[in-house]
Amino acid sequence: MRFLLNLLFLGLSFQAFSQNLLHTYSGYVRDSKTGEELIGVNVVIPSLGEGTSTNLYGYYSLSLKPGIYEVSIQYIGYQTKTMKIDLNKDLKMNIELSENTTELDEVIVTAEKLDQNVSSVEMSVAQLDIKDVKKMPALLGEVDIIRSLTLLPGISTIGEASNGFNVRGGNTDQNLILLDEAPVYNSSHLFGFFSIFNADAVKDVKLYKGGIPSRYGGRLSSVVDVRQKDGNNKEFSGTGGIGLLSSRLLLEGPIQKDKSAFMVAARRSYADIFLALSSDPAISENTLYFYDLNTKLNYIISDKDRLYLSGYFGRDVFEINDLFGFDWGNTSASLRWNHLFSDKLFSNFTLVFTDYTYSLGTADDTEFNFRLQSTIQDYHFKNQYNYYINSKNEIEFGVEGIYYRMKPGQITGSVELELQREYAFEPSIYFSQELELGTRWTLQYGLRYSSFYNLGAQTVRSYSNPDLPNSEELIGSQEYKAGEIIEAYNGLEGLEPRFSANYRIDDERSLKASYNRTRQYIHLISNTSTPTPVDLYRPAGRYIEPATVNQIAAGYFQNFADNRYEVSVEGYYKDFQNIVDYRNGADLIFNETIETEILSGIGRSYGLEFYLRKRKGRLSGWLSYTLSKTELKVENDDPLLAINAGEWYAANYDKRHDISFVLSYQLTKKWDLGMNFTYQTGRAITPPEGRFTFEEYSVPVYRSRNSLRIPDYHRLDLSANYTPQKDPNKKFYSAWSIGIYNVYGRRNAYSIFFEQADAPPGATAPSFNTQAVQLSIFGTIIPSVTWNFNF
Amino acid sequence: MKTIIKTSLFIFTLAFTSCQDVVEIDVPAGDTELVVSGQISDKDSTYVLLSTTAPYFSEGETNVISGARVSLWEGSSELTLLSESSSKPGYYSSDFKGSIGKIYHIQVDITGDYPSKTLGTWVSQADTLRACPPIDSLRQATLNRTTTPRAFEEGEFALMFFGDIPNTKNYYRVKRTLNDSAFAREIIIFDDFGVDGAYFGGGIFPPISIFGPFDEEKMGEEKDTLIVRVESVSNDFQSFLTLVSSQSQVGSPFDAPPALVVGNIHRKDNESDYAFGYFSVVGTNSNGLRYKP
Repeated sequence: MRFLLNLLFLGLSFQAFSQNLLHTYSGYVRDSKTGEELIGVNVVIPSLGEGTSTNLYGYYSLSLKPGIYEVSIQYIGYQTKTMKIDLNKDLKMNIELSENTTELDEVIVTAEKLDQNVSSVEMSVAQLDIKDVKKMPALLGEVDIIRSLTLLPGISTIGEASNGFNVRGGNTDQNLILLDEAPVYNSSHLFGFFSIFNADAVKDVKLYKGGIPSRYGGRLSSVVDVRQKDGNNKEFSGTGGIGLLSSRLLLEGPIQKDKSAFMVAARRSYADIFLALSSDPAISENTLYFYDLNTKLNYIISDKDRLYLSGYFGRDVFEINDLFGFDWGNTSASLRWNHLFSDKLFSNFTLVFTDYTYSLGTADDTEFNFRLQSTIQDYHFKNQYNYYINSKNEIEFGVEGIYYRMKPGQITGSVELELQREYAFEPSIYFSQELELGTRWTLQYGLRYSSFYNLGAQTVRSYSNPDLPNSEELIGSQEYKAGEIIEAYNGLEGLEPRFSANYRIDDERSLKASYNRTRQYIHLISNTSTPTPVDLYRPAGRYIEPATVNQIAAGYFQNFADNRYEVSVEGYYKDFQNIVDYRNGADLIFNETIETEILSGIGRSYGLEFYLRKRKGRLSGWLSYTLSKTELKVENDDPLLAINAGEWYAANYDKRHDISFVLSYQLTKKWDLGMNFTYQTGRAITPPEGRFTFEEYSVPVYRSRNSLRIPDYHRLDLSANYTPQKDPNKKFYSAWSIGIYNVYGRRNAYSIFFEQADAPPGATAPSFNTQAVQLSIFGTIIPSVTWNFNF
Repeated sequence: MKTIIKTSLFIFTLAFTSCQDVVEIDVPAGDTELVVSGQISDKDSTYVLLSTTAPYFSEGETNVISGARVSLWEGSSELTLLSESSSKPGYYSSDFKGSIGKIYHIQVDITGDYPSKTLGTWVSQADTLRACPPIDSLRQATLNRTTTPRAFEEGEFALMFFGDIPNTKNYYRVKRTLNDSAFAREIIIFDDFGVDGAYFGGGIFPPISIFGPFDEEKMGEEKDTLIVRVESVSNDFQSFLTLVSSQSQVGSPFDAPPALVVGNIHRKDNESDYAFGYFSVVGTNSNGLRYKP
């Protein structure tokens, strides 16, 4: 703490010093064609070797001594702009950059500055350019941002049909997924086959695996920050596509040129339309589809003020004939106001509402009908400030408050029932400073302090053993009024220090290290291999503790051959506390006493991540390799409650080796080719050690959790994209994408399960024989074709 | 109600059953342990079956344990000894029937040349014999998608008229027999969650569609006879049965993880040292229906 205070003092001293001698050069950097603010653009003064990059809203600020400077504005995929500025007073300058018309031998695959990976203090960050993601082979031609991220080191999924993803040994609920700062609780459509992000509507995506900045909190393992397009404020335009699974259309344009713009993007799958054509009523009367809608409005009020209003609405619908229906989806809205208090002090005020709801039930017109609905809603307030002291010193600080309203379950229809609603408040305050010390060291240090209040109104049950609640040991209950604090987590455990350091060996090599502690106050209550859409978050409270992780990471970063290649090696270790696990046979459905089903455990994960990337040239792509191990431990005095006899066991998403090889080849100006190859160690499953008979059942005896591995997973995907020459006189142009997923048709195992075999036909007695069955999600090659258009 | 919700959720898993292959895989072999299963009810003889666990991929039924002393207890009093069947080794029974409201358990003493982990004195957790409401009637009715209750496939169904006992938490197990053949590997459980004291077949709750559709009778074939038996079971036993049913196949993305299925049998002097199986204490009623084409 003292060290941090000293550093802060150092920063403030710089500030005092700079007030008199420095002038500020600041403004926004935008795309010349669309007016979109560009994130991470480098604004460099080559003669000084100093510079900065634009923030998440495209704003930059540099404080320099008076003088005439040559400024270089560099952004990958855009023409570098060089200009002279006379900085004899504060200078505000909005800059527009034009997209590159790339030559075949200079295709560059990255969204970041060429040496950003070496010079930036950030580490453990995964970032992909949306344009590149669109060129990669995709399942059924559906461009999938999340699936593409899993091709980078440290990010994986349990299998093909998986809701969510795992980052450095973290469970799927440990990822904070933000869409224009609004949390997304379920990032998947169609049971995990596709992500909810419509790539057309996304401007930028960044995933933090470690070294998580202090402005982010609330989840243990990662932050995925997705930013939607702001909307073209120059001219009306559109983008769309027709694929095998879904079609999509994005429209954007100015409401008032250079002042305000809108963006609206819609997508809908149409499997249900094809199902309806079947002559078999068992198929034709089933329904399965998803749709989503992304919207955004932005308005430049003045040089100092800007408003953004973003919205997302998505829904999955699954109906089994007219007997049962399920639907689930996210809704979010965020209002942001950027305000410049001065050229050096940038602020952002954010209000967010987000909702995740699922419902299932019978048709309403049936005489005995029911509908179960479950909801989590958040209301966020966030106020952040960026203070650009000088080109080597930047401070970020802010406050955040989240109010949770959870409706775990409500049944309506012939029967009216409701589980107790839950309320909570999570306030936090944070600070960080990024400081360059000399020419070699860059430090980023910060502190987040979070607390959590579980609030009434609620009736809280009491148990004779509060450490291990058991429904048979219920001894009473206590009533709490609305807003009354039931449980408060506001001690020193809420301190979340964050620290990153970069030591530049030279211009092409650097060493980095980071430490972060993160805390999570809401838990996904799910006891399945992958979360289902009908799982719901529950808050920490009297019986569920907040989870915590400490992570350290260190890495070596190098670019070579004129930044044509980059390579990095990172190692990490994570130590998890208060991970939620469940009693055997836990009943999590509509359970008023959920605390009696929950166990608490610890975890550890460590690994090594290797990443080699070729950025330039006709052939580009990357090779990533992750060697990792993730284990959990649940101890208990009762041997029936201790999992795996209280010994460490592999998490079910633990995969020792994970290799991805991604290539893109620009064959001609019209054709480019893509290839993905993935190899992963089979994930851990639990084998039976024996069986016993009960009535007519052969019941397996499972003792050692996750001690067996399913066969290794590997898959090759190919794609070809054809983009005809654009007619300069026509605004409309189109392109084709052809892809093959799982080229050699491998039946990759999702799991192996153990079951009692059916009795042979004609047998009068049941069979007690057993068998192992491999379940594969895809058992064949899956071709796709997509037509994309722009106007 | 919970049963309906769980059934609805189970439908999720059906979407992931298309690509399945039987494979050969080596699994570890654990120790041989004791398995006790049995039941006392207010209507039938009391029985206990003693057996052992077996390697997972072994074929057929598992080994039984003969020559054990099996006794039935009410509270702290030993009521009777169960005698082993001469034709079915390992099967112990008594004509004794339980009484509503009484608390029963069994004690099993195993000696002899059996695996060491099976030897010793074992007891079941004591449990109260709960009253089971009668099945007032089973009636035949034509159901389709527009009727109440609904049926996806139109045909002749059996409807059960049945009332829950009010003001207590009740779990019911249904066993069905068609033409003297029990339905293989069938565990049907429902509870009165949200419908305490409801009568199914009157008021807002329709009768329970318990079987159907009946097959069309063929020439010379006996008419179908359906027997439905309802057992009033404890919360622990319904949890055990639910676990047995759910663990019979685990592996699809939305299945619960594999779990150890432990019932209510443990060593007399150490509750943490458990055997497998369950000795259930149930009240029961049954009714029948003969299908009329």
